[in-house]
Amino acid sequence: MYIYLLKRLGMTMIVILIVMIFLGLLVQIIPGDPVRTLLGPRATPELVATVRSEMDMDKPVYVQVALFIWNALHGNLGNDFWTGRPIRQAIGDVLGHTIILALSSLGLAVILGVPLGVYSATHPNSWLDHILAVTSISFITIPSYVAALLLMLLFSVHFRILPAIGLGKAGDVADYLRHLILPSVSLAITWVGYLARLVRTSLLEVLNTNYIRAAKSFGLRDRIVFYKYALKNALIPTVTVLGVGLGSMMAGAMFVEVIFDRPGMGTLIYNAINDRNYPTVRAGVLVIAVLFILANLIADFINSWLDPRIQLVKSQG
Amino acid sequence: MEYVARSTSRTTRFLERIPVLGAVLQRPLGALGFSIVLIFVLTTIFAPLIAPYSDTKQDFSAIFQPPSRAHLLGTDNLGRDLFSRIVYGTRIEMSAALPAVTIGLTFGLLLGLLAGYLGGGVDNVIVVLLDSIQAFPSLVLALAILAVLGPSLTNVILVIGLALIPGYARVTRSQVKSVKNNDYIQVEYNLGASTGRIIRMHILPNIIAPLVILISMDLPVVITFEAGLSFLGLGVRPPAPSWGVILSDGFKFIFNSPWPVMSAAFALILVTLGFTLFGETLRDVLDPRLSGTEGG
Amino acid sequence: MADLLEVKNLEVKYRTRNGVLTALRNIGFSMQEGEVLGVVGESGCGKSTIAGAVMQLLPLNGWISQGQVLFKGHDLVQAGPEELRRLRGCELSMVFQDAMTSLNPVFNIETQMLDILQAHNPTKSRNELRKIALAMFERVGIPDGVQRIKDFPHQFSGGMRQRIMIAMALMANPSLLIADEPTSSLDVTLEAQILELLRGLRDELGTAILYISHDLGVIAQLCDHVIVMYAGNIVERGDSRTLFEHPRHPYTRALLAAHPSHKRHLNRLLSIPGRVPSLKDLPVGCKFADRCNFAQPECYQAEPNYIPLEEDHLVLCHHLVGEIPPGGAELPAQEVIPLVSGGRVIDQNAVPLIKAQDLQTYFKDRVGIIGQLLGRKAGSLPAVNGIDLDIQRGETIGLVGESGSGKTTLGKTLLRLINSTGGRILFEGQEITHLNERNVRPMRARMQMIFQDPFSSLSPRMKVADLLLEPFRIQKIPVDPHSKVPELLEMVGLAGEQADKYAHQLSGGQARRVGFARALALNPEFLVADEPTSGLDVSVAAGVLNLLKDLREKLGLTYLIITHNLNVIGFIADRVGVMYLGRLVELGPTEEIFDHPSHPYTEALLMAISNPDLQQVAERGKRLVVKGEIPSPRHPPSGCPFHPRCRYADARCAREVPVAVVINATHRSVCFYPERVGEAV
Repeated sequence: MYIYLLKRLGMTMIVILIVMIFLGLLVQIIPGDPVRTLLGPRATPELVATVRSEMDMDKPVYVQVALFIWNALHGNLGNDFWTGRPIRQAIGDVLGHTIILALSSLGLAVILGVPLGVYSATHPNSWLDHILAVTSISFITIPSYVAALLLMLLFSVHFRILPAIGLGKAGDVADYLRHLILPSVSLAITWVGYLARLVRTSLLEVLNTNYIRAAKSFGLRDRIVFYKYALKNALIPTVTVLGVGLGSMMAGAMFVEVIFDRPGMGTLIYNAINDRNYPTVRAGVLVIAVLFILANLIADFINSWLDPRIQLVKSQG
Repeated sequence: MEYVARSTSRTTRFLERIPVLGAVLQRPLGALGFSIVLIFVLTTIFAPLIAPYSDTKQDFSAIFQPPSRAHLLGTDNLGRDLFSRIVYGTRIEMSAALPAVTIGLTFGLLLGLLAGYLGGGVDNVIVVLLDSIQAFPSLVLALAILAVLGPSLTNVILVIGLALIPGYARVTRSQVKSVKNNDYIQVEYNLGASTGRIIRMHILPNIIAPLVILISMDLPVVITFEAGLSFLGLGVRPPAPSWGVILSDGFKFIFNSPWPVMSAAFALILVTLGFTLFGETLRDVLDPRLSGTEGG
Repeated sequence: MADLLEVKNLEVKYRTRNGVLTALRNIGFSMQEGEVLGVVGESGCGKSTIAGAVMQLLPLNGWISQGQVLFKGHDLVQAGPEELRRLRGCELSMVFQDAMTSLNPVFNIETQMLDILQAHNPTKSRNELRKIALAMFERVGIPDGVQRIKDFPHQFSGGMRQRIMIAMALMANPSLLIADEPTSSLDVTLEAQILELLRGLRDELGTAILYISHDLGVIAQLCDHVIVMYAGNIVERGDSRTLFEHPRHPYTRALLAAHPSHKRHLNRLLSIPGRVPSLKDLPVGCKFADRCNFAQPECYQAEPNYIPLEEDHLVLCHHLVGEIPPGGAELPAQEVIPLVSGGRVIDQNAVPLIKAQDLQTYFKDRVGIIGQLLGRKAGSLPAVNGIDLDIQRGETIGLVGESGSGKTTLGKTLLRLINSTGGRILFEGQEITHLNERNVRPMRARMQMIFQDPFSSLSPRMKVADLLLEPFRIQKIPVDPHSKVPELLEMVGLAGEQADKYAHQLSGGQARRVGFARALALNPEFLVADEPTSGLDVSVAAGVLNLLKDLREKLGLTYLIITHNLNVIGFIADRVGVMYLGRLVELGPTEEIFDHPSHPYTEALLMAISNPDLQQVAERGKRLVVKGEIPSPRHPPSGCPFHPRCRYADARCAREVPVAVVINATHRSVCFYPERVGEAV
């Protein structure tokens, strides 16, 4: 197991490094003079020079990139251009909300999608299976922002039973949850369909394997054959997908946060873009990318824990 | 002798003679998907003939109208006919989707061929490169780059194209590797075939099918992506009728009228559904065919 | 005494894309307690379906449309799911062909074994069951049971996994064991071990075995009674002795005549013309009629009935062979000739066509970047480890060995398809070891290979005609396609219309012939055939072997035949080289080696041969089955690589690597004690 773990970690480090280099370089390709653009009409030559030096932009490219990486590794993500506040704080304020949103959407998708998939696989070609198939495909094809808008239309505008804006009253958990409903459902919809189909396909494939047939031939009870022998094998590809799912939820959360006016990484980055607040954009993107990579890594590890074949592929002669 | 003959109508027999597409059309979902795609393509080509009004004509006396005979999908906050805007929007979507997919396909194919055929160090480097691109959720990658380059249709195309590259590269790479493993490649090589001949005659035909499937699955993703970016104001600028812009305008006035949001949503969902159904049926048709043999 | 198993009028159908097919028709047989019944037939005959039907475990699209399966008096077809579940694994058990895919990869062996035991013994504690499982584990010959039982399926070798399957099937001491091709994917020596294990367990536990196989030899060794199947019917049924010595059905006779034997030196094998009919397209009347030498008009019109003969022997035929109306054909008598290069002249003193001198091909592992950073060194696999071999023009050398022996690698190295890492290769005296690709190319026309997997060596996108013309196109040799393609097809016995087909539309035998034709396209002198008969039914393999012989005579070819099957060697090879873990352990004239092997491994292979020749089975008496498994080529044993499994080995064998000992001018053995081989135990 260990060799595989080390290999994966090594690869991950390299990728994160490349990501940081890329983001460090990104600021370089801003057309025109970024500092002048930032300052806008207040750009006097002295101010420009001062700001440029403050932002380390007068140093050679590779130094800038190295400084960025060095600082990032120490948790210093720079300061907000306008307020001077450490970006780290700004991110810290809102990261929690985004993560809660992503996790609750993922949880919702799993709770709904997996049982639907299991049901479809155990009743293949029944009318319910067909309905679910069509519904799944439809759900998959609805992008999260479209779902968010439509749900808002339905429940906030038309029926007026769910709130459309914000986090809810501070300190009020019930209200917070109430404000969480529409956003999570919007994000979850696509994944419910996807998971249902994935679980269904995976299960059907597993149920057709030789080892399930062998298990039946040894007289194991159907319940054990299904819930123990088949399910564990079928869930392995699902778990891998969930890692990707968490990452994609965090990205999709951007749309949803902007639409429902919730504070989060999404609105942070969105506002920063509109304000040309590049340091914040860069830092926000870095944090999300790292979280995404970590989510995938964790999914991989869970996978290798579940599937004993993976570890030994590396170490056996 | 002892088997049940399947009923064959004239349509079925006609369709059976068309390779691949015929098989797709024989399946109901495939036919449905294909029809939608066809409508979409035709609308793009004949937009000015289909749209009753221009996409920018404003009419302040008729804002926020619900659907009617004069305005099939209603009007938006500036009195513009939604149906016409959606119809002209197909052109924007296509003009984003096609180039983006072309970029992804071209570079992805190249990288995949290099990685798969040459293997070794080249392969390692390319894989690390692909992993790095895929380390970002594509939206976040797009945002980062667009933040820097500024919003425009061209930049959107570039960014989406970049995000698509790893997909094509990986599919190409794995197909190339699996084909390379076959003995017949070695036979060709030993008879004296040049690398170019091997790639041209043996490797490329085998990778066409998965790539085609990927393309048909990617097109709706690109459209949705572009619309999303435009919705956030980071893509096509208004008043161009990108469906994302229509959505965004509609969102601002969502409490005044649901129709702008609904019409753009409808268009997006329909097109995505069409391509997805078509793509999935295409995959069902092509995949088992690749591995199917006449059983002994 | 009541029958243990009685099958009556069984009919099984499948629903497929091509409609409803009948896989089994009118199947009836019975088994007594402790009996071993063999079911033999070629691909598509339905023998595996019988296994599924008895266990009531047919695939989802199959069902029993008619008939009864009476197990100890109860009809399993009518039994409910719970009753079936209780019987399965407990009274009625099954062992499958591929143990790797039949064991759940994500649970360890202990869990799987205990789950089975618990399903049938709900009252016993986990600990008690663990003891039973361990006992069985050790009984089937897996060392270190206590530790290994906690391992996962992929951590065991193929032979071990099969033993585990047998252990699981027999744990609850069932009355009937159904074995569906359990040894087909194993090496010969392993197969012999598994068969011995099964025999032992049968004697100990009194289990009846329904043994399904395509291998007539294995059936002959193991079974008391035999059923022969063809296209879903039982065509002959009887006790083993009668069936093998006096077969009555034309198919059975043909099948036995198609089997090469290492002892009886045949000029040609009987190959049955035509193909097994596809279930979609079964002919009216007798299903074997269009391939039968004895067919009469009524055979094509009406299905035959069973003719009962003496002693429970049944034949499905219109006539009894031996009672044919005058004018009917008889099976051509088999011409037996002494196995010398009959008709061919081989000049042993000439410069050999191919010569290998201390040839080595080592594969180095690839270590990725991270691995290098972690300090892992590249290991190497000595696939070909110092081979000396001369092949004279006109000779046929057989290269025999099991998995890991390096025989395929040697073949490819000789042809410069793989680069050697040491030693020399000479072609007609000229050194070709280090020539670069451009200089080797002109020689390629003279030495070709026929690959083991015919489908992998034929591009799926090209028609047969294009495949055959490829060599000419690439080498830019002008040729007329309309005459060349039919010429090549005819040379290998294929009909002209095959030219328009794609590779996946051909049968295994046809695809192999196409590969052969392509190899012959540029008039080679030297041909390496890698496992020319593997994966082929006996009757089809016979045709390929005949073809190899015919073309050898006609074109004066020199062959290197790579195979694990000693019977094939006996049919076609002048000399045979035995390989083990990359070394050539014995080399000499075929007949001499078969009669008096001079290496313990050769002896082990000969012991493990299976032939449907009851006389040989009896002669061999108590077989001495070699123990142990082939070690991984990465970690060969010290000294002589065979010593851990050798019954003659002593301390010296573990310390020193033996060198070649000359037995006579054409025979050598790499062993310290070649004279001890064949000693009585």
